[in-house]
Amino acid sequence: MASKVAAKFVSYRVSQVALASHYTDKEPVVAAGSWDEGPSNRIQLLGYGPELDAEGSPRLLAEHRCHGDVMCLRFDPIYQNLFVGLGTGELVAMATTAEEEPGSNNGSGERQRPRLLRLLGQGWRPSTDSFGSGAVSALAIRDGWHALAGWESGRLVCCSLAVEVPDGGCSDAATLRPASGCGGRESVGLDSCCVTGADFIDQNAACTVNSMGQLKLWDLRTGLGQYDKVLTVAGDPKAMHCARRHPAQPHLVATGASGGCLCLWDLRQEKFPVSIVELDDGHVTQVEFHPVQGDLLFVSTMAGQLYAIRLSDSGGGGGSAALTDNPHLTAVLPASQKLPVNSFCLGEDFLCAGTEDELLYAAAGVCL
Amino acid sequence: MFQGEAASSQQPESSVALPLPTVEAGCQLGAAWSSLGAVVTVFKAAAAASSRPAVAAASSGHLLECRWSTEFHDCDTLRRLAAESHRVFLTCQRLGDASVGSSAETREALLRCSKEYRALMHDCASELMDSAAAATDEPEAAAFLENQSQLLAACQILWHLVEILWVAPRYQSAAAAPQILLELVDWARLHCPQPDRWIAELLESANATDAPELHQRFWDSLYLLVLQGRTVDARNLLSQHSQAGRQQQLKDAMELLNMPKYSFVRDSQSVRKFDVAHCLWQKDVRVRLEAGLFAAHPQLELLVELLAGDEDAFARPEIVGLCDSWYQLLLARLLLTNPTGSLDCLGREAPEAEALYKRDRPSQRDGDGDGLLDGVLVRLLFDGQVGQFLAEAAGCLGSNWWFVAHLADLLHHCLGGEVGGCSGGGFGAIREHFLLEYSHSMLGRAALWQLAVSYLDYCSNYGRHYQPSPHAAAATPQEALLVRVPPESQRKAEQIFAACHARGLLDSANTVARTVARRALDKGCLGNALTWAIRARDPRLVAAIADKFLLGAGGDSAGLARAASADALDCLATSALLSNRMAFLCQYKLFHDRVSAGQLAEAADVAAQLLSSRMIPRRYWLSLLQDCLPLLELRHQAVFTSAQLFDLMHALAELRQADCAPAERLSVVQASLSDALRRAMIDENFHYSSASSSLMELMLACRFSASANSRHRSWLLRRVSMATHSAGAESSDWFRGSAGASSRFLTPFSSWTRVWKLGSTMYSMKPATLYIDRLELIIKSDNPVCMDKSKPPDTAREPSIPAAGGPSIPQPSNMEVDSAANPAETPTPRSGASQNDGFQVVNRRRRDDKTSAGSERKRQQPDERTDPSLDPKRPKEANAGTYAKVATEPKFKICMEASIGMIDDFLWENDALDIKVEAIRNANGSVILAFKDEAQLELALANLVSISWDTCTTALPPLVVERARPPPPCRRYRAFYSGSRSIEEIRARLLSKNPDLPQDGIRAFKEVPAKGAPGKTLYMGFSAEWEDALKKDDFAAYIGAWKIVFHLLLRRRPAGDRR
Repeated sequence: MASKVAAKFVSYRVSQVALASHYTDKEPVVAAGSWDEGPSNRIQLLGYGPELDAEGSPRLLAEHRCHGDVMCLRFDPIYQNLFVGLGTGELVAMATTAEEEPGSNNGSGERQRPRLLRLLGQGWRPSTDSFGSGAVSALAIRDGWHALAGWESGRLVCCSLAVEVPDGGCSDAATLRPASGCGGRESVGLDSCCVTGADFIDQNAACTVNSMGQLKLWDLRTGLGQYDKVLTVAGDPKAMHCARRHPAQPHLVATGASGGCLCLWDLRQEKFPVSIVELDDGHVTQVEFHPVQGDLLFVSTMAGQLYAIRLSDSGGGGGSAALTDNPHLTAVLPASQKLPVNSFCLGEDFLCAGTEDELLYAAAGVCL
Repeated sequence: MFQGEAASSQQPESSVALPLPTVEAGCQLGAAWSSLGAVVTVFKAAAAASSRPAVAAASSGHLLECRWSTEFHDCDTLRRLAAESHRVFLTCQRLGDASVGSSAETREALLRCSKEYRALMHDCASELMDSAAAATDEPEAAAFLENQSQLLAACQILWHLVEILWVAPRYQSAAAAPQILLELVDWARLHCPQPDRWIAELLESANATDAPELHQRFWDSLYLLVLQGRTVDARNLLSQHSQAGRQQQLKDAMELLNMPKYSFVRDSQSVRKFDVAHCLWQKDVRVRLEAGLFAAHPQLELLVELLAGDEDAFARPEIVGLCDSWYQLLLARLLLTNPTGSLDCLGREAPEAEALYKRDRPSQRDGDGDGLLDGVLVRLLFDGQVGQFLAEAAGCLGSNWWFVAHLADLLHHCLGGEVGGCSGGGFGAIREHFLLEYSHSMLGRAALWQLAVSYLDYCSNYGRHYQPSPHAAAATPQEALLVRVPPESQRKAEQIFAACHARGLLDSANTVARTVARRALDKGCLGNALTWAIRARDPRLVAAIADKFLLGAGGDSAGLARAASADALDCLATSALLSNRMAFLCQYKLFHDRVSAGQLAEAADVAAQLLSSRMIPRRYWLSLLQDCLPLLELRHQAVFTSAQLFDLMHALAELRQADCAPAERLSVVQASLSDALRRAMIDENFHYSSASSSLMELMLACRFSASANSRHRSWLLRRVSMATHSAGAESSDWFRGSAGASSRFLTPFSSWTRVWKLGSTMYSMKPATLYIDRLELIIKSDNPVCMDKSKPPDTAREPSIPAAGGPSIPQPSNMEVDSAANPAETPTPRSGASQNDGFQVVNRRRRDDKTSAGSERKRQQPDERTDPSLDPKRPKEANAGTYAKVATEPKFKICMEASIGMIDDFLWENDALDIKVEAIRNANGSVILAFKDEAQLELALANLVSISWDTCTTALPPLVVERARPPPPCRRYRAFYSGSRSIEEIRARLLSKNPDLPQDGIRAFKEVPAKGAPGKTLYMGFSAEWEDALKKDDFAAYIGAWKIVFHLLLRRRPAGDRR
């Protein structure tokens, strides 16, 4: 599958990884976050060499210590700010590029390689209610400024990062706040239980999955007050853990659930998934479509597997893809991996995965 | 809060001073264990000693967290060691699973694992040293790192030795002994890098001076090289001597330094060949030595003496002094004196070498030095006592269990069970002990729980469950560990839950789920609480969550709708069955969903089911009924069927009975209900003969409408009248009524308990008090009556029944004899005839009548009416069975069919009545209520309101109201109806319009064949004269039936009843 796989022990349990951008595959920069380390929790920015040179060991570019578990980690694809959801319930934004351009494109089209981690203002959390909102449990980023975040309590917030650069030029005044720019009347919503995954479908729609096994569609124009549609798997509820939409066909969403259950949904359908496949006993921890080869789906599980699955054409017209009943699973990681793969990130030709046994895998040549 | 790192790993027993700044002498201290272990929180207790540290801390302001076994906590390098070695460990387990020490490939693979371990240790040791060097501004941290680095380096040396002696696959081979010796010499050399340093110094100084031999370390280096078997290096060094090219002695020595080198071949010949070569070479050395070739050069002579294997030379102080350890000396001696000897020599000659070594170092005692490499451990290895070695090493390393755990595991896989030096339990036991300890030592930090659990996977005896064992005293098995890992977030809880499931620890998994659910419940996150409670399969918790939902609802309709609006309830599927409450909530939500989706009929069905199942708490009945109001009031559409409306009415009636809802709200619902019922009946074109229950239900509707809407009531009564009339005219004998007889409804409608079915599980109502749904009155007669066979037909032909209070024998004069008149069309009830069949026949015929022969038949019927059972023309055999069962002296009993549980109490309408009743359980499970005398039965029937039922089990419905026993052959059932005045009035009006109708009021008998459709057996109205008739001996004979079914529920009199 991958032409080269390198592994690095990082001395913390990697809860989340995020790839800085799809365009830096030759020298990818990865952010990795830890959990369960108490005050020693950290976010690291790691730079890989071209073609995973040397031993494939990344260089540490920057490190930031944070108090809570790193539950969600996403780069915004344009400005390369790093959005971090913490176990304390706080949502934090960090600049990763040089001082003078938190979010400004320098016009040359050449973006800077992330090399630092600097907090952008204060973190944000939902206003205190009778109970804590719990950890941030889902995060999706759209067009640079907007984040859709879900909390364990079911709270759902559309945030925007507003940078208020005062006269002095210091950009530390950036703040996260519920977004009016999200397009909706209500930028705060409430799901019935823990929001475990979120993704933007398009400019005006987003989808979330929750621990009750529901896939919900939200129309951001009408706000997060009421979901637009809810889709479920028939039978007893299976908690879903992640959701990702297809890069080219936004109506196609892949979700991963408990019991190694991988579902492919066509949002144009009324209620049920297009295909359901049970991979193995472990829960699916993350799903990602290949950014370029949309028929290639990557799935990681709690049983320590990371599979690449080739989707087939559903044949029903409309260019929809589907999973065959017994899809061919190509393992990306070595068979010795037994503990859960918590998270992975995917570039055009690069894959990075963080595991529960403190390993950071990097794989080059993931394109089939 | 501040954190104290206490108890160094080297001295676990030593006392530690805790820096509690506010503690003065005499104040109380408290301590609390952390959930995982290896952490104790110490705090200053408040004056009133509190068991909760948080409370106490509030008074003192300080918590002191004491941790031990902290090697892996804060040092990234050691964390890496733990994580990386875990993978090697897993590889070993895979190899071990395949075979224990059998195949050579496995052994080779295990050797590779061992080398991986060592490489890892080496890597970490040097990284630690680098870190120590970098941490110049933190001397304490630097010292710790350096200490750890040295410890790891020492461990690696020992591991290497074990690897050479025990792990390498050639251990069994005799030919391997010289090779092992060489490797041991190499081992000693690797860990004694002194000569290389000296040579480097020499070479540096050689640049300055032309005579390196003048350097103080020149000869020392040469000796050491020889002792380490590096004769080639020694020759090279010697060639640096300034006189090397000129002095013959030096040339000779350099020649002698060409010592034969053993190379391992799997061939016993190779040892012999080497032995010969070595002997020849050494002989040559001795010859030249004895020739005095080197006498002029004492330093060179000593070198050659060493080569010759001269014992005295090894004992020379300058040689002993060069060695770092006794085993270095031992190995050098063996190499040069007996290179092909067996490995037993190691143990044999060790004491001598040790004594020699210590002779020059009087200060050094056993146990001095760094604890690991002072020789005790090496000696144990040389002696072959590997088990003892592990035990000693564990003692030396204190709380650092990493080394012994992994080494013991590796050896276990290499050697199997039997190894020297193991006491009790074999090698597996000591391995497991170390693994348990190692796993336990990782628990000081929550981040390592996954590793700890993974190690416990391979402790087959004590790793999973608690077992009483001296070894496992300190260990925490998986089942206890996993439930103690704090599930701080949902994702972490998922992982713990998955880890439990993957290991089949379902109890632990449930405990984890329950914990998370409780936390979520405390926080008010009901959705999360519900998901986890379902995973825990905990009905009580699910019920508690449902209660929380309902608590928020507050009992009113809006609140209930709000509670059910949580979409978490949407996808519960069969999980909803975990609790009645939750099932109700889900159904209630389903009702609302269907209403909002416009599926009104389906919604109505759900509502009717909910109310008839009695599953919902009674305080929500009115809410549900009110929620149904919009559906009831739909003018253009009859959403509810009449059957469903009767269910609703039933519930309403019960609410009235219980008097637990405001009357005005009930009235509103009642009005809507009766109105809806009227429309439903019109829509359904109400067929009386096709559904035997409908007439009674009609009457119920009458009763309801009595208080609601007079127009409606009259409409209903008209329907009743038509029903009775058409039944009488068209069908077989249906009703029997007494014109003008005052009547009341004892059992106005059928209310079969509907067993709430969801999936395959049956649920019943929990409350102990239930209303009886069906009560059977069995009139039994112990002695058969001497029947006057002619009498029944005679009485049957009586034209009318006297008015109330009239003759003691009621006379069903207007019984229809339809079946007798048309024997081909209406089957006479026979033994074993299906009641359903009977109904079908009746129904079919009724339809036929409608189309063709209806009017003609109506005209004929009054003349032809006879009771087929009482028909004298009937063959005697057909009636014989029935008559034989009729008793002369009936003993009245009430039999409740197949009831379950114990009857607790009876509620009579009039408490003052002293009714003596006894509940007797039959062998077939039914309960018979035996009354003291007949009068009491009558009294009881007239006053019975309810019977309390103690349902012991929830798995079965409390009342099985379906037929419990097959009916005896030829049993006939009868239904009675006695009309009311109102009906009469209507009848009169009807008659004026239709003179064909029977003139003598509503009198009908219907003979229903046996084996009826469940729940539709018979219905009975109860008239005053029939009460009298019940007392009569010949009554049963007269009616030809001896079983009457009552449906008791309501005791309220209809409005028109004046009795």
